[in-house]
Amino acid sequence: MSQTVGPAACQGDSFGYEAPGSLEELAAILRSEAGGERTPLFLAGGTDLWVDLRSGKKQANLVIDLKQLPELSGVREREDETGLGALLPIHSLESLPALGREGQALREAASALGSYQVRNRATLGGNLGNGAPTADMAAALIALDAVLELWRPDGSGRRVAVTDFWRGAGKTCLGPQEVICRVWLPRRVGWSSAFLKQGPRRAMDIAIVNAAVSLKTVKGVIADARVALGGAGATPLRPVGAEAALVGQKPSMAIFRRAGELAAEVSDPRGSGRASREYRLSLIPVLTERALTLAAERLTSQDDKKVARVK
Amino acid sequence: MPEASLWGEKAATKRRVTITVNEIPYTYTLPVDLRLADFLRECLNLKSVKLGCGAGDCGACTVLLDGRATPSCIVMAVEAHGKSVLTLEGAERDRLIRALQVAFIEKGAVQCGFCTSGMILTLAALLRENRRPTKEDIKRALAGNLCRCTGYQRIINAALAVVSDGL
Ligand SMILES: Cc1cc2nc3c(=O)[nH]c(=O)nc-3n(C[C@H](O)[C@H](O)[C@H](O)COP(=O)(O)OP(=O)(O)OC[C@H]3O[C@@H](n4cnc5c(N)ncnc54)[C@H](O)[C@@H]3O)c2cc1C
Repeated sequence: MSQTVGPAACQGDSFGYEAPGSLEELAAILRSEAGGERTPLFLAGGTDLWVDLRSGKKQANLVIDLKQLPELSGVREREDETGLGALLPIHSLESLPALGREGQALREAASALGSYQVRNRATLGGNLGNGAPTADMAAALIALDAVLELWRPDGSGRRVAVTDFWRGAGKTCLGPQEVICRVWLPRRVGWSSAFLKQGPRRAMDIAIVNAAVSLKTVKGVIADARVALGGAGATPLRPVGAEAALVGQKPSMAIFRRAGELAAEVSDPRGSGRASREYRLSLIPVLTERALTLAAERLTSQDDKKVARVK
Repeated sequence: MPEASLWGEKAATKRRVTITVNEIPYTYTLPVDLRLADFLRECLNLKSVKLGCGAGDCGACTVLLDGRATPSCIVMAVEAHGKSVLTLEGAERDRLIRALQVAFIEKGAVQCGFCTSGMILTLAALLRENRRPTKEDIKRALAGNLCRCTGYQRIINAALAVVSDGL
């Protein structure tokens, strides 16, 4: 399938496009470019990259298309985790059974991204690679304790907790030659999760704020919780104070409201064309509280089912 | 050939690609920054593909790429190498798309017509995934297809008519 023209085919002052068919081929291209004039940019669905190149927000002289790399594709199941290929189209995540009950937040985040056409084209890895603090997959993956599997041309892979991925506005921990291969989600039996998004329009728009949460209860008491926010700062945030306030409590409106307030306290959103800082700050507690309520309802309905089965 | 290199004044390299469009394979040597929409319109003269916003927002350039509704303004032609593309011109033999065209006419879902090909191809992709979409499903699928004439109601009605005909 691969139709790579060697890098030599793109000379001097011209722009190139490569489409390696394996990680070995990719490594060879990157090695031959190392120290050269061209800075390669990786391409997945292109729904961010082509738009940014056209608008001039980004410049490139070599685009390396990752779409033909089998190592980045499909879903891999292990006993204790599920590995989502970086190339999975967002649309395929909307109804992915492998996400299980506990992965509902990721399904909801996928359904909330862009349009049908964009979801067909946009990929999971691209949503992260772009580095935006409002990326819809970002908050959901934080709430689900995701771990990213990264690849470098020298073959030295590493695993990075998704919370360590963002390093400031638009910045990620990815080295210039580093690729996201797979997103691993630990199996979290008994957890429930939820994702909510507020954008300027009901559909087809980047979030003003999004919130993803997950909860686990033991005997009616919250045993563990995750809260994640997008659009609340320069990077996606995990307000651990809000999580700590939940643990040991029974799910209630009051405690969810408190968690929302604590989440807002550590948020530092900016004002932008999409929304003012003040509007974001007033959305954060509301979305957090509602997402927690939704996740708690889902726990209850899971428990109800268990009780029903026991009877 | 369309103007302006995507990435500024430097020339783009070229690649040889084979793309099947409306069931006919075409082999061309194309600049790597040529958009799929430009290839279809300018090289193959398929003018049903409309270029609106050029940024994936409006849906006018929607084509089916390996069956999936795709914004052809933010896909380069080289990315379609080895794949198959369907535009409205290729719909002659497609019963579902014919049915959508007829329903659009009967329900008055076409006014200026600029959004129509994208609307029909998007709906065809939806109906292939889900034979019985609800009105909500239809609205959600069309969220990325802008129409400034009809107010959408007639378009949705046309889609619902095809759904209830159970094609
Ligand atoms: C009309 C429209 C609406 C949109 N709406 C939303 C929305 O509601 N929510 C939202 O979050 N986003 C939205 N987006 C943005 C975009 O669609 C998503 O961020 C998408 O997931 C990007 O994926 P991609 O595969 O297209 O990435 P690309 O554009 O191919 O790449 C994006 C960046 O990630 C890097 N990259 C890609 N894959 C990898 C990898 N495997 N490893 C390392 N780096 C990689 C690229 O180098 C590039 O810097 C929208 C875009 C458009 C055009």
